Amino acid sequence: MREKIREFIMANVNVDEDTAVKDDDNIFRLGYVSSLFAMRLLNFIEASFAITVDDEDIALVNFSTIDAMAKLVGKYRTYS
Amino acid sequence: MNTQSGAERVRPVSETSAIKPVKCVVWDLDHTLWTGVLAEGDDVVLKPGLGDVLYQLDRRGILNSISSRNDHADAMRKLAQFGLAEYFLYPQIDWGAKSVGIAKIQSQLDVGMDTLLFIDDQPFERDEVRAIHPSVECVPAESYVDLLDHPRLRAAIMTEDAGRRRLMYLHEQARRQDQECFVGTPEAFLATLAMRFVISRAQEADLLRAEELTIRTNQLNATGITYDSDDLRRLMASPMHSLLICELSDRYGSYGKIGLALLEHQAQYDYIRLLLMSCRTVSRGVGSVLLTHLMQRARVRGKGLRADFRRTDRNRQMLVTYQFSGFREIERCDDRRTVFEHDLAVVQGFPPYIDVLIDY
Repeated sequence: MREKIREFIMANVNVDEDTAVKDDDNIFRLGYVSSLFAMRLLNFIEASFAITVDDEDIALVNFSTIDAMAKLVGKYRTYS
Repeated sequence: MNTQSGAERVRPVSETSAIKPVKCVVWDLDHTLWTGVLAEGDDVVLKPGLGDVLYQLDRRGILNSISSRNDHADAMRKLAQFGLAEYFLYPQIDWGAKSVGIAKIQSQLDVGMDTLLFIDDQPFERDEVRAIHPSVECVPAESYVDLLDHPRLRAAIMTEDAGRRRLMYLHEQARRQDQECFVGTPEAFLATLAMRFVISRAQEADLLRAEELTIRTNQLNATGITYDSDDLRRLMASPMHSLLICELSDRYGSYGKIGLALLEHQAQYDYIRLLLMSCRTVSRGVGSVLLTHLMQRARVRGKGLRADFRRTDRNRQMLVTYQFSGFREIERCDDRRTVFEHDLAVVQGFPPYIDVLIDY
């Protein structure tokens, strides 16, 4: 799951291709992140892991690192 | 003090949804737009007054398209002879089912199926479309003479933006074609557009467009509350409020006035009562530009920043915009309204691919 998220971020954020994004790197500090990217990231997470994120969980803190996103996905998968 | 509470401005739902404006008229050709059958070699003649109907619809900002069983090249040549080809966006002229053509038009224009009106002389064709798309209004060919008085086509507000709507769709078509050929991230493509975003105070001439924005905007609308131009004129004059309007342009042309914000100035807070961005701009990555400006503005003036948000079934993207910009919910009111607040400790700059001009 983490690899899949990492791949998406590497392809969509303007980061140096040689340095892999670490699980606890704050992706919103790596480079400029647009509102467009935020929406795409949410759509990517929902489509890839077949979940629908509740309004309450659509928060920066849940998407700022790969760890946080993995935790969020885990939470929804336990419910189903 | 706090007179502009969101709740009292909500109009009854029945009033706004009873007459849902038509955004696009889809025309059949043989025996509808013209008399005769082109494919049978008839010397077809345009129905009397039809050119004027198209012209008037176009001025009102209502789009026109075609769903017809014909040879595409022949039909387009004939339309060009009549001087009408340029009026039709995404014409669907082939030998397939009309419901399929209508689905393509709807998807290309990115408008609701219930905003299309289909005009065709054949009851069979109207029934076929109605069976597949029950929300498309289907009318017989002869009703074209009264079309301009149709309630759903009269509801449109005449603004400068409305008159330019077809051109803006054509620009959008060109952008999409270029984007499909582009290799790289969406942000890298945006950088090639040379976008310019101008934020200014709304003027009298903007009020009709501002009203139209509150009615037509669904996805990037923080409250879904509509305002008429009299409401807006009053707010524009109020020293307690700032009514800001935005225009976006790029190397293909202008998108027109696409953003609106109403700020209420309280002693300690700037309070965002209304924030919306036209759905034309959804793929342009400018959804947070106006919000970022309001954050920077409040911070410079040493004020806090709060915002009304009312969740509708279509504005999830606005929720994402607020929450990803760092706003937090501080209060939930009875009328499905939420109050957001930003601590302004960290305020992001504008996207690097866009030139923002603050013109007030």
